[in-house]
Amino acid sequence: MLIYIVYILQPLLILLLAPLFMGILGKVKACFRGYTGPSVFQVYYDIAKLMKKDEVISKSSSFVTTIGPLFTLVAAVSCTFIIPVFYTSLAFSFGNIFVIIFTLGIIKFITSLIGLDSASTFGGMGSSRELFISMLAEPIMFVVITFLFIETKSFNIFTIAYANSTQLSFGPGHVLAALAFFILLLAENARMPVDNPETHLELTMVHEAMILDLSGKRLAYIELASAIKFVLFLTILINGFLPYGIATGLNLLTMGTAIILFIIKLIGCLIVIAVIETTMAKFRLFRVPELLTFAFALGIVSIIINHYA
Amino acid sequence: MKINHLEKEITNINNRIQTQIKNNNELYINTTFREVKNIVGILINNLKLIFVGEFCIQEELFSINIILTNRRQGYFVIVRYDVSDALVSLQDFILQSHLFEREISDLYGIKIVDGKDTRHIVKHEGWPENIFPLRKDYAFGDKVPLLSEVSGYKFKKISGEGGYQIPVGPVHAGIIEPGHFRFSVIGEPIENLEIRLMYKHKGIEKICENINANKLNLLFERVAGESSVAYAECYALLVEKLIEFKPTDEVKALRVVLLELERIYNYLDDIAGMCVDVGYSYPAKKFNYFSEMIHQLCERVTGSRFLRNTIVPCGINIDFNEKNKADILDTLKNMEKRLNAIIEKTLGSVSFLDRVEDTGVVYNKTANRLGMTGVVGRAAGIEYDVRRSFPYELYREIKLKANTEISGSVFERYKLKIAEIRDAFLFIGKALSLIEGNVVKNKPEVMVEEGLEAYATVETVKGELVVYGKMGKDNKFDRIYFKTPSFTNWNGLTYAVSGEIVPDFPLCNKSFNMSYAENDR
Repeated sequence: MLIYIVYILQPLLILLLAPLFMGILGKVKACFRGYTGPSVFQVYYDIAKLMKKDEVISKSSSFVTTIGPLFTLVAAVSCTFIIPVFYTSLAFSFGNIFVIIFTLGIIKFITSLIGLDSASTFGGMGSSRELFISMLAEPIMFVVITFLFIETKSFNIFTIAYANSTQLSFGPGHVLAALAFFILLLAENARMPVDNPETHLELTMVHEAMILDLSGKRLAYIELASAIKFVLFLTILINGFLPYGIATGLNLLTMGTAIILFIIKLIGCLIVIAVIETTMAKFRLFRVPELLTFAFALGIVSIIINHYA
Repeated sequence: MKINHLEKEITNINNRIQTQIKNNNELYINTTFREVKNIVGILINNLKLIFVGEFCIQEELFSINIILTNRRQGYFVIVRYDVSDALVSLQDFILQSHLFEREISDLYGIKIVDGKDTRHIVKHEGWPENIFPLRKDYAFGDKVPLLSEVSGYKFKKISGEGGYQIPVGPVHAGIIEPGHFRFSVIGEPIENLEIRLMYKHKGIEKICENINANKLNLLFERVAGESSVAYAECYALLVEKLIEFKPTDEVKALRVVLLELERIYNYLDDIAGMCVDVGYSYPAKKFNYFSEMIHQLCERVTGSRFLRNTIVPCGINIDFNEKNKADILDTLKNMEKRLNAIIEKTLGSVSFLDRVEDTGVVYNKTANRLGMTGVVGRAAGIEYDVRRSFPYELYREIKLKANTEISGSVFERYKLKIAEIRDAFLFIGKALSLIEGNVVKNKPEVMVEEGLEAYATVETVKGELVVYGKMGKDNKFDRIYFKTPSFTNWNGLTYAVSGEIVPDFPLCNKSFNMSYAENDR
């Protein structure tokens, strides 16, 4: 019985809390810069407001713009079902990491199509830049997956989390791979220093440029999908590389502590991201490949170290 | 070369030319339609004068005035010729003259003879054909009717595989004024940028002709809100030059304080904006905070956050006492150390330097050809500061040297803006030390004789502002002309961004931070 509750509770936790985590990130950044900032619940208000609003759809756009945003949300939501959050065991047969990255890939694919679909210059520029960045980011993902496979002999994220769950001392290869994944996370989720999520300047945008022509609930879907995607990536980072404390038995107490530990780890990651976003300038667009190549190299090095260590 | 030597030189070259020196530093040269090109050519090429601007005065005929300056000696040379319906284009040897010629052509309906660029500049597509708002027969207060059917404006285009255009504006994402940017790009690099401005022409030069000279300072302040004090100062200088009035040392010192306060908050906002545009948010927020502190100080001292209605001709419109003086000194002292700490932080940040260094370079040669002034010009090595060349108020004693940089990139502009802020702190301290006791509000009525004319110039935050004023009847001006710094400096941006990538445009733009309103005067 309890296992079915866990099946529902894990995705629900991510779905419900994703906007809150975005709100917390905003709040932490505001604190670092020395002002109060909006409430941590602001993202919920924004989404609620967008859901109520009327929308304008470009005449030159096709069905991609009409149904695309919903698809991205569906992809994001379905991905939450195949990821460990606070409970893992070897009994999960789903959770293949390739399924996860391809489901997340759907979000990127459809968002880029939406950018091109409205036939505005900004959308096109945004899509071109997004694909340029993800083209360089994808190899990092595969190198990191390779590392995890070598380490745990599995492509299943639940098994990976299970295998790493009791460990606290990891080799240098593990740390480097985690770092590579972290850089990938920043690039894939349009965070600084790759993209500035707060900018109002259309000409510098990457992710935001693609969705400039959306409004109303379609914008809300995309915003929600990106928030979920961001938290998903963080969850993979946490449970793939530092799952310590994750519940492995169906016990209310361990699961309770696992949830708390998960939230603490996640907020820790958000603080690191907030530090990066407030103390660094964004990279020049053509400097981004250097960062991603660096992350790729880290991934390769981590595999080599793991092999010889 | 001194101004009277220049006068002799000119008459030696051509003895049919009539010359006249007015107000000690203005040499008027009257010439004709045929000879003007030749004379301006000699003045610029042989006698090394600098082209500033060109405008039109309607008398019996239309008198075209070409303003030239000698920056070393600090005087104006004005070449005049009368025309009835066509002016001589100087576009062959003065790169920016097309702006002025097109403006005259649109506002007065005078044709440009052999100009390469004769497109409309002020007149947007919506304007009807035969409307020339600055002509005297165009009634004051009439609105230009807008047509619904319009003809297109021709932008420069690039052709070939992969080339496309990005139109940006005139409505922008921020709450800023309208301006259209047309990028021609191949991939990310910008091949060409064309800027189209003047979407909201305010007709201020026309309004100036219909307002009593005693109230005109208020209108001057509204030409460009961010430089209110500098414009008011320029008006005060103009009137004081016309009636040969010398303000007291206290008033002079107080004016310097106000001018420099304005410089501080403007440049703080500029450097904050540059940090925002590269996503470097921590210093950006702090600079904005300091700028707000200065605004609040301004409000406490003068009652206006933008120091409006403070500088008036022949006096000063605020009461200033020991308390205000202490307030200014305290606020600045409290801020200086914290500001320096943040500035050091930005100068030591690798990611920030990587963005700003060697981005948006304007070469010295280009800057010279464009006649760029102000911070953007000095960043490219043009050693020209109005406060040095045409010293007003106390600047002869306190402004000892123009701050310059060499390579003209975004970083140089950033550094210069910081240098100007630091100078301003210094100048305010020096000026305040000259004020002893209270300065009493003094706003005398001025009466200016009909027919007098003069030029005044001030260093605003954007660069060199030159104002021409000619007195008419009833204590109203017959013609006021503003040569605003942004009018010519805007085009520097097109050179700065060529070859840069599209996402770097906002940064280059912010480092210039030119005013839209100054064009729409």
